[in-house]
Amino acid sequence: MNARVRMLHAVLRERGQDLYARALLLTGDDAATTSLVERALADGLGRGHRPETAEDAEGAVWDALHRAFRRDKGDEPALAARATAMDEPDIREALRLLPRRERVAVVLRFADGLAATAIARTLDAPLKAVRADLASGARTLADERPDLRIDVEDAVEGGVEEAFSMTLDGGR
Amino acid sequence: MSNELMESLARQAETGGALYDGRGGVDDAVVAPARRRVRRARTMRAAGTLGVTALVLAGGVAAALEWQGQRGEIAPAITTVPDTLDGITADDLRAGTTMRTLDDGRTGQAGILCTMAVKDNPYAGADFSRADSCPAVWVADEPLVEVTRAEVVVDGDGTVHVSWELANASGDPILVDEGTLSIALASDPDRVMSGEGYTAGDRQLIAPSLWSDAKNRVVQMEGDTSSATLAPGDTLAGDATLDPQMFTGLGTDGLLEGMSGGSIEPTLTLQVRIPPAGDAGTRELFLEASAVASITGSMDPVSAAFEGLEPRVDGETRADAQEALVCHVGEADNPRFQPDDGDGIASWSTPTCEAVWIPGGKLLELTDVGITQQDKFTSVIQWKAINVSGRTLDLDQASMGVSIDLGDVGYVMNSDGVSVGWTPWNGDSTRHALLSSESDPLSLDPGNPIAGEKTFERDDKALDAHGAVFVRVVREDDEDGTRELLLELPWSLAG
Repeated sequence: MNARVRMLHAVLRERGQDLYARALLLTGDDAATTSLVERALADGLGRGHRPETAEDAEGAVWDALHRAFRRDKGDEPALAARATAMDEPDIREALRLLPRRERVAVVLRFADGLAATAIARTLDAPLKAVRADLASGARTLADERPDLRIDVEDAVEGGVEEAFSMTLDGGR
Repeated sequence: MSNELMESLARQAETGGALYDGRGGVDDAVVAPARRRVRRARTMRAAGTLGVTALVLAGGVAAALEWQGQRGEIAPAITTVPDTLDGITADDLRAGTTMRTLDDGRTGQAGILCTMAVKDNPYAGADFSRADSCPAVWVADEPLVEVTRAEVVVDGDGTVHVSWELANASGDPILVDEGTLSIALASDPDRVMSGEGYTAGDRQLIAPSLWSDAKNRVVQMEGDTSSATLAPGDTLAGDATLDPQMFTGLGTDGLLEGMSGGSIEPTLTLQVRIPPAGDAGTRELFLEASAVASITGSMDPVSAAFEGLEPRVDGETRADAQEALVCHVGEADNPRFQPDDGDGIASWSTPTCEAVWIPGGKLLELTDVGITQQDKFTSVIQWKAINVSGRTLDLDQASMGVSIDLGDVGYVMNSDGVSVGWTPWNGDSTRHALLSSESDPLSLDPGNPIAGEKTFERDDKALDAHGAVFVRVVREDDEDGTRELLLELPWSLAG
């Protein structure tokens, strides 16, 4: 097994759950999730110089996943059956109201707590565009789900520069 | 901060984690497809950014350019035979091989015999693909395989379709690796490449010739192996689509135009790996068969805007002509012709374009360029140019991109019409440019200015860099997106 494949195994072992979780949150579809994760692995580990450390590899794949989703165009598959408790509206339905680029910005902002500048670095996107995406996405979500009490200004201006750690329960 | 939204997202994330667990974690179901994609990405490693792979070949340096991921498609081979894995193997053929040279005048079955460490052998589990230059050999006195169909169709926009058929011309069944069969189009196949290089795609290659010197040939080692037995008289067939951008790479000079105009009939070479009897090891044998391709179709006539242009090379200066670029993108890869995703934000592409001069003096002249660092993360480049042509210029003020050349830095950041990083020149006469999905025509009268500004991620090296502004020319046939003409306005902040 060469170094690149060892890295692939290591990333999946350490971050497989996070990657699938994030991809499903973004796409809402099992098949699209699998495809997105595979693309992220290929983009993150298959191109350019091999990351030097496992941490670099995990970061490269994580960024690649969000960038690949943002680049996607075309129709999206229907949402898979809801998996959350029946007494709570499915957040994915609200996220589906957002174009992909707004959705990925909003998820990075609220699931990871990142600031717009950090999101722009993650997505390799212009800061101005990210701020516009956050504002528009947050506004749409706020209108659709007032119960979430989303502050549009906070969405654009708040957040931290670095994600400290990623866990399934969103803690850091 | 909306704690409610954070908690809702976190709860939803748990179901995604369960999806991974349901696939069995790090097992073949997860790893195998990812490994295939990684292998493919290693082949296509320039997707989305600029990537140049230099391959040092005996007797010269060639470069294979891969740009923006998959530029062409190759369909799986269709075999007329059942998959009974029985037949002549590489072990049977290797012992009888003899040296082959460009001018030895012999005929028979041509082959290529590569030697490599097992860890570098893509067929022995090495997780990368490669193109290599290996010794040419004669495998047999009579042909074992022959090309029985070699057809090329040129579409109006320059897209090229290749279809082929390979037959077993021998009296024995032959074991072939149909999954890794690759095709090559050569414009001048009976000479040694003289440093022009070649352009490689996914099991596709365009070159003046596959001879890297008089004893060695270029061979591609790509794809997923899939062995089949080719019985006597049976055939493998396949087709491939090469988009116009592939014909802007190294070693492709004039081929597309020559095929379209009827002045070049390229030779189609099929290279098929012959698997060994056991596991792949340190040697790999490929059989080669070639035929002159028949060509049908031609490209649509070009606009008058593209007539009278003169070739330009990197670093050349002229006071009596305007720097410009011709980008033969094909409408499928022209962002102006992509479906609008409705978000009101322009998308940009970075095509490979041919550097040209527009004779007759300068048209646009930069009068001001400056970069300011807006904050810790962001810089802004502003520029202004004047119409010095003495006539009205029809320009597209929505398609004005900026390239900032940082030299051999090993990275490129492309965002929102700005490309910062690795030198955009592929060779002396082709370079990357920027094209926008948006269009906003402007008639610029003589003496009038046009200006723009772009924001990009701060890079201190940009402060004394050089680069260029590109302005798309609006043509009378602007609804034809096959080609674009860009004015190039070079600038330098050094010193």
